[in-house]
Amino acid sequence: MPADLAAAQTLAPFLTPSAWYFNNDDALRITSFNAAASVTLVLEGRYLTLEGSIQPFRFSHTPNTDRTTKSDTFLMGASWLLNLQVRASAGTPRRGQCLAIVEVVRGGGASAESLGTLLEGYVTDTQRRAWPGSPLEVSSIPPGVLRSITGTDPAANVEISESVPTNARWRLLALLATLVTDANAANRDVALTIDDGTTVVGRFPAAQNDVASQTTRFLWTSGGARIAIAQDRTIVIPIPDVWIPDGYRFKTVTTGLQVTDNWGPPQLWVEELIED
Amino acid sequence: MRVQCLTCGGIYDTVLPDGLPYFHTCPPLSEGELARAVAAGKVTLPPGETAADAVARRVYRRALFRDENPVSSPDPKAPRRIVADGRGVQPAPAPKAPPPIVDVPD
Repeated sequence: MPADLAAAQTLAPFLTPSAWYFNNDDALRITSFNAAASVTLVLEGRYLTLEGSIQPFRFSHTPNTDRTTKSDTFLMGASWLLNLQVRASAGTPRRGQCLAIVEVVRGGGASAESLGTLLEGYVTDTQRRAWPGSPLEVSSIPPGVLRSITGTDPAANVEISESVPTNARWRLLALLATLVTDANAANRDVALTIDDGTTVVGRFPAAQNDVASQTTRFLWTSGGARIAIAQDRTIVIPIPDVWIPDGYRFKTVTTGLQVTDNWGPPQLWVEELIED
Repeated sequence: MRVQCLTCGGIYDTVLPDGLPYFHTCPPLSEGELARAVAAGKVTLPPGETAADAVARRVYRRALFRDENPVSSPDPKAPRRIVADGRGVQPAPAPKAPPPIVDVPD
């Protein structure tokens, strides 16, 4: 009889129904996609040795902070994995910022073979993912983290342009920007476009001529209707409530933009998830 | 850190108040910038098209654009790279406006 089956017969009273057998080539691999600063993840749990001893384990993993993938592999040795949890032991990631996937793999490096997925989902400093117990969760399910982002302040005669970062998915709740026009007599027609990096997929014009020597606030926001508030020099323009993947871009297109017309930095309010 | 892009002149903070990094990407040319590029002979528009028509129909990208989005690598030991360095950045000039929060003494 193979040694691992013989051990299983002896240890059967101590095994849970979900216990996972590791041979000497098997390991736990954690892969993370993280946007928050100063985060450390810990994998904690218990395993049963072939001698019948239940032992705790604790492994640390430091994710990247730019949503790029990072993996660490931890050999378990011949044993039975009884339970496992993942949590943030440092940093305060919010839901939508730190995605963790824990797999059982055999072999090492890039050629490691994935044998099964134990955990997948967002991890915070208070919310854990546990095996057995937590369902596998895809990254695209809201709610995400709400963020206020000050974009680039363009030079004069340059349009606003903001891209959804790599491995992020945004729901644009609002984009507020101010245009200061110079003394040149001309009608400026402003629109916000959404493109996939090349092709425009949406265009949302302000439908109001901006003339010389004016300061006008443009607020593109999901829901509602177009409103021009003359006393406040603010124009509210509706945009659709949709999720935008990474690499897509929000930019202004200002017909008649003059040499010293100046857009201020845009203020974006977004809901963000990881796009894995 | 507040920096200025040497390609497009945009000014931005590399880390936002929520602690997350900000990845600047240079905007495409505006109508006015494209018109000046056409006048300087750097680009030719299709017959009958104005600069306003052209920027509505396609993207005119700066040849030395900067894109700070990270490039993933399967090698964890590989140095971190961004999509495009462009002309790089320099420290931003001092702002003319007050900061968003101003502390007023008693």
